[in-house]
Amino acid sequence: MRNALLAWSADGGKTWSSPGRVNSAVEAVQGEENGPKVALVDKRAYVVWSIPGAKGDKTRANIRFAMDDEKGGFTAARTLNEVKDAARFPIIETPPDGNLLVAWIDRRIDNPKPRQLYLMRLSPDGKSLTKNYQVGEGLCECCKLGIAFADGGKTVYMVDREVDGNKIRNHVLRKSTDGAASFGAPVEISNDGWQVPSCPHSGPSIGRDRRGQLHVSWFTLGRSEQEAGIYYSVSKDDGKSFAPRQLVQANTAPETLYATLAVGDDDRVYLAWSNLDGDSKAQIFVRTLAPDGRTWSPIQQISRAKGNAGRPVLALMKNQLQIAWTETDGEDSRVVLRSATVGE
Amino acid sequence: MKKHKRSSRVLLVAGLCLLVLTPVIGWSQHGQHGSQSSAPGVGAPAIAFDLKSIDGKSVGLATFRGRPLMINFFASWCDPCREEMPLINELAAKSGKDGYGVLGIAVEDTRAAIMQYAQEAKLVFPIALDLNSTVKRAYRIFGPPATFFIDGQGTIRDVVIGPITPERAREGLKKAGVSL
Repeated sequence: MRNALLAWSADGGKTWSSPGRVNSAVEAVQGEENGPKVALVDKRAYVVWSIPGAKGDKTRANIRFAMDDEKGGFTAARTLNEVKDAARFPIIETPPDGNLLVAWIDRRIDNPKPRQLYLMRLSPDGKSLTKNYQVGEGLCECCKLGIAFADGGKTVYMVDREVDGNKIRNHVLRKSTDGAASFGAPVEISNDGWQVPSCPHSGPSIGRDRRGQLHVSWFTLGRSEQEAGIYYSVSKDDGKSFAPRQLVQANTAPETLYATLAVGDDDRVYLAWSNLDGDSKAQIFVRTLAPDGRTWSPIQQISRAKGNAGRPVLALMKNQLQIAWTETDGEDSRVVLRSATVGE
Repeated sequence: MKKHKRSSRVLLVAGLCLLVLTPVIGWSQHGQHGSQSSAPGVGAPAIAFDLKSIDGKSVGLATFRGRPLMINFFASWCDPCREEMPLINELAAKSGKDGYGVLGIAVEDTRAAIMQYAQEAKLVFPIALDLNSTVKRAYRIFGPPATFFIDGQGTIRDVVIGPITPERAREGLKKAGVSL
């Protein structure tokens, strides 16, 4: 069994609490692309994760939710998906209205139909404000979702990897102007043409800057291995269209890579991803894009994993950028954090 | 986007059993790196490897020397892997009678998860753990599933990237020298 652990820092990452267990009961908490996600409302932590279904099937799973009980622990976990053994890859985010929005990939309408995008809303005290509701379909079965907000939470942007009948897996943006009650038709971010019958397990990331520009990063192999890499695109018309993709870094070897991004208060875009180093070990790399949209910083390698490093996450607070990632070596694993001062 | 303005706290959540925090240090500059290696395609010698099985025994290409071998790269979290696994298991059950070997190589997974899956799915073939992805990378696989058919001399005779059908499995085994 695996646990969801949570540690917190009140000094910008210099010191940390002891990791505490989030899941009250022993259960098979899923990791990697389908790992636990956290959101914060007024210093209170809310966590979602996935556990396998009744028959142990990780692909027919359930979404679990627990929140800080404000007594040093977590509430007992509860399952959010109303149709059991049909949901995974949850995310939880905090819209500006102070409530919580949970999204996941659902398969209650099962093969051969592609997966569906389901949402539900929770109040800050963890109560369900809505039932599960579907806002999209055609999703790839195994890639994390991305989300961003605007207009006080009235506008919601979601990105996901789609799959068509030919198993081509491009990314799309979905936009809601009614607080995620409904979404418009998906807009293709880039016609990468990656035709893959198996699991990419690598989803997109989105951020919105103060000017209203939408920034997206993702991994694709494209139409040939020579195209494989981490890509970036921007929408300057509120998600109606996207600029031609830009290569952030090419693959150094056949490997599915994982990318994420965050946008600073100065409209600078911070990207982090995994790629292989010269010793064929996966490491974490970072790069920034200046607010002019043209000037890229050099690529920096920030991990020195003995085994492999993967699935970076970013957090920006004032002028501090925190990057955390997972390192594995054989059967050992650990979470590593590095900090940097930015925007000066 | 991982940007939370509502709190001064930074939190990390991970479905892992060990958490280590590194000291705050400045980032070092690093240049481009690495080079593409050639893929072990059809007609190429299969790349030798030595891994541990889920029960701790050494298992590698040499274990199957002298007879055709079907290698299936899979993961417990992979939808199409699960969908094709009854076929792989069925072929493994017949392999002794038909004179070939079947080896599963679990990638991007954990021993506990694979052991649980093998038990639930009643898998009857040996499973090696590629915990550091070295064999997956040597065989140039972006993601599971992928199946390689290797003849008794150690030459790759067929490759199926993605889910395999009974017809393609039969074709691959024949190309590897199995009389069906």
